Amino acid sequence: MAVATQTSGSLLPQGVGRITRTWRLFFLGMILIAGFGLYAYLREVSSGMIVTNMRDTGTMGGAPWGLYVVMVEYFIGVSFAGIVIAAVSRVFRIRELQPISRIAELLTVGSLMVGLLAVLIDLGHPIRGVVNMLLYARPQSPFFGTFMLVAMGVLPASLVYLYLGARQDAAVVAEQPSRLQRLHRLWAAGYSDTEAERLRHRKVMFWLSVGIVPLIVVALSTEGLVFGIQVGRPGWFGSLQGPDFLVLAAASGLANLLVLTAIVRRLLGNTDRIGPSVFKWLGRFLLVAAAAALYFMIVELITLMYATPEHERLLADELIRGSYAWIFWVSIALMAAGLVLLLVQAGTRRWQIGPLVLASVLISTAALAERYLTVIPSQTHATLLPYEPGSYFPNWIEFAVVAGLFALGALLIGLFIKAFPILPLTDDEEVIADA
Amino acid sequence: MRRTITVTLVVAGLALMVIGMLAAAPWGAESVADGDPTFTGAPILFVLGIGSVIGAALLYELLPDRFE
Repeated sequence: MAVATQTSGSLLPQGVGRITRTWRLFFLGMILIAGFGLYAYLREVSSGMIVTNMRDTGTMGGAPWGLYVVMVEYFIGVSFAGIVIAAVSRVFRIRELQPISRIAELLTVGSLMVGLLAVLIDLGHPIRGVVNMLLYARPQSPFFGTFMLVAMGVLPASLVYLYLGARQDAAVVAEQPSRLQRLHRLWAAGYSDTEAERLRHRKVMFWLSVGIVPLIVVALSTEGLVFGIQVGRPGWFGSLQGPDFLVLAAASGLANLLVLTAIVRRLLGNTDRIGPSVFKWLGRFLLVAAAAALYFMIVELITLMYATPEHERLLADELIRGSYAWIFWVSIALMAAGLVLLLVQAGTRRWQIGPLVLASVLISTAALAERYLTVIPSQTHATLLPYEPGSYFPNWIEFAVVAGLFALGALLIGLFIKAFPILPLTDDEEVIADA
Repeated sequence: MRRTITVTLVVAGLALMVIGMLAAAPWGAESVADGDPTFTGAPILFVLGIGSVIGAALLYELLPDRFE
């Protein structure tokens, strides 16, 4: 199996360092899309936020938190499942999930990076925003948690987790002469696989696993609290926002992890390392998370509709039969369809990759739509002051910037896959790399 | 030595986080208009605290054997 993943002319496992024509095209495509996103962002920087469709609430009848904030919520949410799966599989020794632990960590790091970039892009003056946050923010505030705790806590912790977790493999591939040898040696940082080093490594990874889960739960809950504590904003204020954010984060994160795992499996020639049991585990987790997410969506809707004050009721009307109805019903339908696909597989006990990927795409799209509905309608249609209802739909600048963020994330993941073994090395691969 | 450095960094990190939280709280403020941190820059202490704890894990594994 390990031999099957070797490449002609290179002994590095899993196609590392081998850039085929398809990969070149992929990188070129992603660079072009990211470049277009950068161009759109530079237009925003030079001309101001007026080039976007975001406007103030009230007299301007718009939404100051637009697509960028939606993407912050989505990307940070996606990061949740990856690191949790990696940590849980390590702490509870779930062998079936261990082959995908690096994929999961990589998804977390990639989505955190683009999520944080989305925060900065949303700021008219990003540098001023970060400096002022360090000077004047209050760590007790959920707004501090959304950026600082993620940027300075969760992201560095995830990077350290990814770095240390792969150090052993770095030492193995560093033995192999290649263009990447210097990088691999740097990564290995003198690791020589002694008994003492292995023991230290196990200890550190265990404690990091134990520590990182509560850290990311706190950081992500604050994302929900940013909306949940705003008493003056119908549709946002409520104690369910924190848990709802976590549940939807788990669903979207698992869905993305499942898709990425299927892609990696395909890239590595349908390797047996990522077998049916991996997808079975991910499918079961996704089933629970998607069911909980759908439950939250329905509970929130019922709460919003049933004997609520006037502004909440108007917002519910807008969601059910107003200008946001198509997004609302599509999101419910997609989430339900994804859930049905998973239930069928659970019922028949036949977890197949194709339907699982389809279910994941449906659930991930539903999660993105749900994030949109969380952020936007409350700004355009739920002001307590007597303003006319507003409207918001992103323009090409915003779409281009967001496409650029997706491309940047894909580029990061692609570069990693070509620079480092994406699956933890097996004994066979170590022997070949050592040869 | 390795353990001492690690424990020191973790304890110092936790202490910095607590000090950062306390120093950033607007003690005695009666309205949200006075909501700035008591000490400007206190959030930096909190961030340094997180960095110290994460750095402790990194150092524990990366320090060479002579630090045993």
